[in-house]
Amino acid sequence: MLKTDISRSIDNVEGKEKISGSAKYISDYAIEGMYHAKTVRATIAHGNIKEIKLPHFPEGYDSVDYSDIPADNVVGMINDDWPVFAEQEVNHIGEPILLIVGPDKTKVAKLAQAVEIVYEEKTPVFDFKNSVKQLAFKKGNVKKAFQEAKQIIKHTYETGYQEQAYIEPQGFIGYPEDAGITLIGSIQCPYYVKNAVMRTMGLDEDNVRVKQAFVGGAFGGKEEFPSLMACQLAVAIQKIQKPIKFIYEREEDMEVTTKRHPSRTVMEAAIDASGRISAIRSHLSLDAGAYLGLSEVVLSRGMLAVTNAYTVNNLDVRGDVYRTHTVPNGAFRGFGAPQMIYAIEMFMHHVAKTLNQDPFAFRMAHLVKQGDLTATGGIFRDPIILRDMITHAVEASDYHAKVKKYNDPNIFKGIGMSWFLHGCGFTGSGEKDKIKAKVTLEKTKDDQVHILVAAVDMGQGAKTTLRKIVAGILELPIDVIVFDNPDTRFVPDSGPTVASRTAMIVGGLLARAAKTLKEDWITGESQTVSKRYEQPEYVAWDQEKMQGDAYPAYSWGVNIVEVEVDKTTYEVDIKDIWSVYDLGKALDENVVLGQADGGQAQGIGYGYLEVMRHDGGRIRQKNMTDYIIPTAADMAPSHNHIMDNPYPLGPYGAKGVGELTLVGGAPAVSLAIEQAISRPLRKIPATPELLMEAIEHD
Amino acid sequence: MVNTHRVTTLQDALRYLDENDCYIVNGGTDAMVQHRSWAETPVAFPKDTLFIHDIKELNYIEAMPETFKIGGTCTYESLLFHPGCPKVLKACLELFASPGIRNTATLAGNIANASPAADGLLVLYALNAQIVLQSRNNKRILPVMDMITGLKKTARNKDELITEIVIPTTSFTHSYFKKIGGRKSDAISKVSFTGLARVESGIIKDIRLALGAVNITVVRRPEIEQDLIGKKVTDVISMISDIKARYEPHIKPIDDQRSTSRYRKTVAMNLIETFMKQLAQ
Repeated sequence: MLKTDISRSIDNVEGKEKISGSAKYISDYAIEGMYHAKTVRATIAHGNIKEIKLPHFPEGYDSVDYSDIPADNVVGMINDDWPVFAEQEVNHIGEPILLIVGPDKTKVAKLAQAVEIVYEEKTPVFDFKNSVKQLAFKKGNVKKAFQEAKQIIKHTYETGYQEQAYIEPQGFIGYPEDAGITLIGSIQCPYYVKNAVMRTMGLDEDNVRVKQAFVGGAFGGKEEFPSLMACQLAVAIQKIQKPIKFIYEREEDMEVTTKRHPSRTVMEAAIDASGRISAIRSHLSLDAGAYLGLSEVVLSRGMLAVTNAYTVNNLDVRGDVYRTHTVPNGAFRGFGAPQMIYAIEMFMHHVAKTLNQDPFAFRMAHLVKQGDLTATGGIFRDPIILRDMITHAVEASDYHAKVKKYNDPNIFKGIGMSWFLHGCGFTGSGEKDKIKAKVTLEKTKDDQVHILVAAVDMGQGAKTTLRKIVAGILELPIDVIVFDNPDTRFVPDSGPTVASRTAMIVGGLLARAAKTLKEDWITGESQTVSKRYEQPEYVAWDQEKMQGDAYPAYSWGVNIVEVEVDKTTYEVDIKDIWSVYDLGKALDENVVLGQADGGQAQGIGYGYLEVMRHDGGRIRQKNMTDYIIPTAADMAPSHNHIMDNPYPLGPYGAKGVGELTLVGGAPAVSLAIEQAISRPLRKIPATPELLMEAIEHD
Repeated sequence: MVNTHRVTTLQDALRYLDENDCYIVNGGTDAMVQHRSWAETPVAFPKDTLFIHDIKELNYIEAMPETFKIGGTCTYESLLFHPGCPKVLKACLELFASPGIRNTATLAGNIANASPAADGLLVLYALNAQIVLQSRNNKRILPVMDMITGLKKTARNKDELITEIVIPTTSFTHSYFKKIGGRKSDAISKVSFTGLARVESGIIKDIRLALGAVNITVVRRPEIEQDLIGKKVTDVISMISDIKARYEPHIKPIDDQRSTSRYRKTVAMNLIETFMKQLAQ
């Protein structure tokens, strides 16, 4: 029985299966008589297909393309611009044109290689030229603030690609079942996949079934991209009527799947007579790649983070999503926020430097507090303990003394601090209007309680934390709470496993369901309780004007990173990391610390290590040898501290945690490097090559 | 389809090599990656393939007063933990790849692969290592510099096997190894450097500089080293820019997905300077 503090860790419920090797990942699946599919892809960045020359297919082998699609050649997402298979036009290198399917992999590979495609090439666009989505919002009177400004300071910040580098590449296995199709995949969002397949195939909901295999990491990369693969596979299964396995190779995965959007952010501040920021004009540009996918929502989350954990009364915030002839970009832990939080944290520091003010004091002077208006005119209603968190981090790291010491340009050491917030759950009224999450608890006659949700444990510990919530409220041992991998035949749509919403929103609904079940509990009877999301009444959001409460709640964090830069090689050595987090209440301390260590490594890696670029639309770093992510040796011991600040509507007070731990890493490490080399940086990743240019080009 | 053949004795290996034109897999950490194919399909070896890593008689390390000998199937991991391993080689191996790779990769295989970014090769250049090549009817010994003939090219005839690497035992007063990879472990070098020297009574008696990943093969210039021997270390400081200028034409790195030519060149020059300054200290 869980009568102790919920935060106290239990063994991760998936740990045993994963460590022993008994957990079944998608490539472990095999079905008697299954076929294999391989994608034939565009080799040019932009042009028209003039002719496709197919090889002769032996018995049992075939190709599948757009002409085989029963309904819409669209991957159903927010925008309808992403085709399942290219028809005439190709818009990026690696764009899928057709599948080769057959029983023997070697033969399938040979046939795929033998396909010849003749193109009529067109000039590709790689710059921020072709804006396809624009968003904007305002706060206060920006014009007046700029007119009255004592000084105006403007800088531009750039960020590069980031690859999710999940442990296991994308993949599905599928088969015909009754009149429909069943797909098993490495996915974050079973219902996204199901809905997309229904649309492409013109099938109703009873005829598309989606099951989740064990997921070897996702980080957002398995949010929308799997829908594309699933639609293609469904078309193939329908045509060929065999079980088919469809797994990407690592290099294929890195070359063609969605990545974090490269960005450029222009920040312009009006400084008033007291030396404080009176207004900010900001413009965020995102490179969507060839198709929009979720880019508009990524842009929105990025823009909403414009003032991060500061209060600025006058704002003019604009953003554009640009289409380029490159691989489509998409969801990645943080979802637009890492780009903007990098820009604002660097900018605050740079503005203070320009004004000859102490950056720490300058930033503190703008710190948000409870009751302040958010960037979009919503209200920070809940208690904010960021000031205490900063104090803790500053003391633990001896920040002030080190800042002073490392100002000596000859010692090449630096310490950098970021603080940040992350909105929990879907942006705006997404939870209420789009997701409408539903969860079910099903009690069997033997008094076992099944959690029926579409949330996926992709390593983040959802199975552990959600079971703890239900067990805790029902006052039952954890092992009578059953949480199997979601299968859309049995689980309701509790929404996608994204947006730091699983613990807070899905967990919150499960807590409500568990309370009801506890009240109505009849031993030895089967009982079912369902709950649907209800938005707190005070949360109001106008999507058109981007005004109001963008999120029901916020999690908060502080990162401090200490570095040393090698004068001979310009390499960065991470010496130490301190972090403080307010995620309401930890549902399991080890789960949170795991998120903290991983999120920091991914966020700091984004800031100084992870390089991905394209050359004429072709990704250059397309394997784990060339795309450098940090190893344990690259990270310093991290000192993580969790401060409780329970959120009344979260289960046990919990808010989101998954993305929060990533978003502050890049500015913290960049500011540390900037101090070490005594030169400003406005671009990430801050690689040794970039530092060399900065140092040599004085 | 290609044929694969596994041998457990040197004699069988040499006979097979004499009778067949084949590709050799030792540890496989280069070979398996270079000829990777779609998962669950056979590795795409270019021709019939001989697996030699089970030849136990070549899996040895022999530390003698005059020489340190490494057998052809000896892995990096056993080298790393051998008490007689030369200091600079140990420094290199501590940063070499990952434990998984070190447990199967071999020094001989690394030589045969002849990559300009191979860290092990760099150290062998600096240590004046000799490579023993054996065929069914012959045995010859080549200095490592003559063994490597170009980018991924060696002097090995197709019936020969690298059976041993011989490192002459030499004592140095200065030993410096620096690998610049994309990260601290499990990375391929952007630039690597080895500097060895023996300084007695302030006079340079022996000096060797080797640079990796800055040309099609490891760069070592005996003629520049020769001119430094006999010089006073206190005079070296004033010579640094001259020394760098002499190395400069041989440092011709490329731009690729791992780094830039400019960075590699700048760092290579910085490392030469750093090492020369260490001598003067």
